[in-house]
Amino acid sequence: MRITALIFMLAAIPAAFATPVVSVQPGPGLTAAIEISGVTDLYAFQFDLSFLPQVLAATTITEGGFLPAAGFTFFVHGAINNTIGTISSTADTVLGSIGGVSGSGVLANVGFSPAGPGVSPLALLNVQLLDSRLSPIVFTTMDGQISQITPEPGSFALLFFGLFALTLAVRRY
Amino acid sequence: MANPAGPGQYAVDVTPLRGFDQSVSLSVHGLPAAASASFTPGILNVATSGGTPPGSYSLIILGSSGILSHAATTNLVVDGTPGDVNGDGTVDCADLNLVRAAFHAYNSRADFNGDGVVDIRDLAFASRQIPAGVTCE
Repeated sequence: MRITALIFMLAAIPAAFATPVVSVQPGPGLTAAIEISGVTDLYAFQFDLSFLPQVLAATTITEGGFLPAAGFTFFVHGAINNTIGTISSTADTVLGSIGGVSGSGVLANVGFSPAGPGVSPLALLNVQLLDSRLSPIVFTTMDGQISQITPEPGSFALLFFGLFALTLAVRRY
Repeated sequence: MANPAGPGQYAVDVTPLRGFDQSVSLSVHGLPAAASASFTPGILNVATSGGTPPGSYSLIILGSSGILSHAATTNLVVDGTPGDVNGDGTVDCADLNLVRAAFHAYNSRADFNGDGVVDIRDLAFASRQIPAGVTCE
């Protein structure tokens, strides 16, 4: 059994907005956390996620705990397409004319199951962040990847392990 | 008169005087937010959306040809409740569900900012109209 190398791509982000790394717990499937750091007054967000369908199959996407800290929320499950490897238009918004939430936390959790050995990039696309005035928030994205253990010859068990870093570093002008 | 998600049409007549035979370009000014206008021969089409603020607006239609110009005014009345997709007079969870559905199946009534896409900007616009303390699934 061999564990493939894990390489995190680091974007050029000001030190004041250094991005934490999020890891994924191994198990029968994988849960990748979409995390945000350093945001102020986040009221709503939307993103797409792409992955390699030869390696991963998305199974679930659920709301993270960050936005509900502001109050009641309304979550939009993204549309999973495991043929092309996308989850499109996952979104979440606070309900009511109240303020957003500030700080860092998990926006959403994405569950995967293994589709085959290899390394899959996880890329954030079409990200939108809005504050409580519905004004856009400027941000930086950091993509991640999931690496899957290559099974031993003769083994039918597809073991799965991954680490993942996929974060948004956010700063307000 | 125009409804928030319905098109309004105005007849536009250009009548030449004293032998004028040049082409005339038309433009419209004074549109409210999240509304757009286009001209087809003889018609001014005004499209509003659920995000167009209700109210009465004075539209100025300007006809120009070289240094010549002439303006005419008309009135646009937008009624309704911003964020009210189903037109029942209130913004509630049913409207949010319609906006959510329009993420993948475009619905112009849920396109509050009139940008041709229903996304988080439209959903957040509607969600801000929801009374505090209300929960939606």
